[in-house]
Amino acid sequence: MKFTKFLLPLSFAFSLLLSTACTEKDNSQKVSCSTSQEEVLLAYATQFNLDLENCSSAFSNLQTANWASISDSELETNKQTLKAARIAYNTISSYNFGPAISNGVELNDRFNIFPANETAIVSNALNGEQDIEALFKSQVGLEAIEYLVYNIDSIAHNETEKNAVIQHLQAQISAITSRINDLHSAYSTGGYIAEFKSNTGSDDGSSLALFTNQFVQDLETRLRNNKLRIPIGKFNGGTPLLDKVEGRYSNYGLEFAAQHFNKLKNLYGTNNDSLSLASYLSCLGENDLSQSIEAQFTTTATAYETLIAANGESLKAAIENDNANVSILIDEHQKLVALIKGPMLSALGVRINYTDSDGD
Amino acid sequence: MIKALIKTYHSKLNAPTSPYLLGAFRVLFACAAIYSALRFLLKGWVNELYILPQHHFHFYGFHWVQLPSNPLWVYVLFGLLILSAVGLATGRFYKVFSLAYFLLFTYFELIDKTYYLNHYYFISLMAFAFIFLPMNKALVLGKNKPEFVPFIYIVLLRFLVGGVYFYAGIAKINADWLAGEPLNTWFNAFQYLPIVGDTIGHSNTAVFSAYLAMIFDISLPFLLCFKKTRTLAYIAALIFHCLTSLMFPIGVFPLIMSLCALVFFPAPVWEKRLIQLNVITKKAFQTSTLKGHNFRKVALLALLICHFILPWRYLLYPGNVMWHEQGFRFSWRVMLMEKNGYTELNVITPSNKIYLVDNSKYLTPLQVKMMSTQPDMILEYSQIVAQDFEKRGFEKFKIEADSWVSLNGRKPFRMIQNNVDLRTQKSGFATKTWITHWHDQAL
Repeated sequence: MKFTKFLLPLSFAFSLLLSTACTEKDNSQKVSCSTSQEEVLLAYATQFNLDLENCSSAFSNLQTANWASISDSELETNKQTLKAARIAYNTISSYNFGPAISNGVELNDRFNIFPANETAIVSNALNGEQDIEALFKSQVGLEAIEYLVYNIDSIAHNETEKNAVIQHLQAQISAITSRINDLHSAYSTGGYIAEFKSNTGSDDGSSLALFTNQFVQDLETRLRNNKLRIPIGKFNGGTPLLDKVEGRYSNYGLEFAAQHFNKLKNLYGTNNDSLSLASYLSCLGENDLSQSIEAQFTTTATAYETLIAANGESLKAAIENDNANVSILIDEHQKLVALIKGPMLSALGVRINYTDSDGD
Repeated sequence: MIKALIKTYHSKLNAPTSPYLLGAFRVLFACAAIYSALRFLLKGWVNELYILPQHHFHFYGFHWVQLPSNPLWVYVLFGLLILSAVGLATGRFYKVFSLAYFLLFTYFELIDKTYYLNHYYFISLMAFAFIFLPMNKALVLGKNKPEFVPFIYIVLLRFLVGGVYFYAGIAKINADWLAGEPLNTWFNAFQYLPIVGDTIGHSNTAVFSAYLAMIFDISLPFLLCFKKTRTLAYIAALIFHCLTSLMFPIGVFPLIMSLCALVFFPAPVWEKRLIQLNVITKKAFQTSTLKGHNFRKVALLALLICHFILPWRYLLYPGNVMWHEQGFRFSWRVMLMEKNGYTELNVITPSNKIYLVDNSKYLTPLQVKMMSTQPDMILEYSQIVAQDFEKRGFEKFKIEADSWVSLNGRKPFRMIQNNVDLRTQKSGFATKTWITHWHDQAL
């Protein structure tokens, strides 16, 4: 009896609370997710493997290219091979986790640093330096290779120096090729696909968290900041820093950025894909969000197309002649970052920029 | 009649009670404190969270709380914190160790509000209460003369613990929570689990869990008070804390609260269990020698008043507290929202040159993340950046924020008003008019 006396007013109070509580979200649209996370992870790991295979192949082409005693036309061919390798590298930029971290060094933190340290590179080249591992990151990687390929005649003044430069160039290409081959092997034969697939969940360290964190970092830092904002001078009061474009010597900076972006767009996918981040979000009941992100990817892609149509592949030319449209492109990137970093990661239950700490 | 009632209550509250509840709870709490501090140290957080950052975000009025410039002293202070927790566990030199633990723990909490957590605040409150509670009247190393303690201290301790649950429940009575957010968002992430995934991920599960958690939090202190419901309520609390511990990265919070909920068990039950476990033998208690009884009660009552009043201060500010976060801290709003976004500052010179500020040049990734969604931290960050630009010779510049935040899965909204010069804004308790108004959007 006493218990009933206590229970009645309590029930009344809670009923009052429940009835006055405002419920706004219409969850009736939510459907049960028939796609398992494992399937999505497997699809992504398979895609990573394929991209790494292509990248590995592009770098093998670069490695096997004839560099000694070549004609101008052969040098031009090699430059195109280098361009293909750089584009291939941009397609694996967000796979910077798991086996991409070797001895604590991230692939992206080693081989795609720009601007390159020209003075040090010349010195290394003329000395025929072979120990690439021992060099600072501003002296190695893609930008350093491009500097050597595009400036070989001005660096080497005689045959001996030219041989030394070519030896150093080949060592540089071998170092990056070897690292990419190792990374590809970790996927193709080393069992990382299975490991990635089975590491389900959304906790820190889960495959979904590793990939999406790198996806965000790629979009926000490596692409938007490093490739667009820094060269246009956003951090510098608007004064362009044209020596800080990617592909400074080849002038393919805009093409590299666009290809990088297209890869991220394809990785995100569309709602119509059977297995992609887009369709997985829809599967989690976030169809509107998924479509908003997809639409913003399309808008940003259009901004790239507009810029390329007017300025070709050179970011330097775009900054100099079409600054307003580069700013528009950056703004579109910003809108995309807001959607991806905010609601998308929330919906996936992934912590961004996770450092090991507690929360409540 | 009233006089008689007061007299009865007075005598009940001052009735001599077994000291084993307070003594054993002191040991358990101190052990949890040692574990928590060692975990913090071994995870490298002293270095990562305190020493490595170039700048720290201070609580308003506590800018004077600074870290020693030599990192070695930071470790020495942290070592003293662990030592004081060990001292607390032994019960020897109780006044010294309880005061030292409170001061050192609170000192580390005040260094940087980036790392504010409700359970750290709770530990600070408990540590303060420990200074005045007679926790050293039993289970003291090397002393075997337990003394009675007045019952009122146990009541005050229960109020302190019960208040956390009660307010955590009250805070859950808001539109988002009762619509199942952010639980729905968090639960979605568990859909991959075999067998239970579909059930966890179902939107009704989130709504049901939200109501259940709200009812659970509000009612738990009361259910723990009644003999008939106490054991069941405690088991429910254990299950609840285990589940939250498994599902969310909330550190030692479940452990601390699971231990604290034990204070609702009567003192004789603690004594009986300790005898059963051969920790103590049955013996007569000595009369209480407690000094400063009134002063202790006043200090503890003051603490409880703060504990119960501070959570309501958000009512002084218009708008949604989860959006503007004025009055959000120190109010037991636990696991209440999912907030993500980005904030960048633009330094604008008189000649209209705009310098976008690279957050990573000033802050750690964790600081960037926390700053991005908390307006008072955005303002403090603008002050840090302003100082740096002044040092670099810039004059008469403005600082504006480009801040977009997503709350509980909504699409991102601008958080700081456009064209507001943050340099002209002051920190403090006044309403921050430069935060955008919350336009409630359907989830």
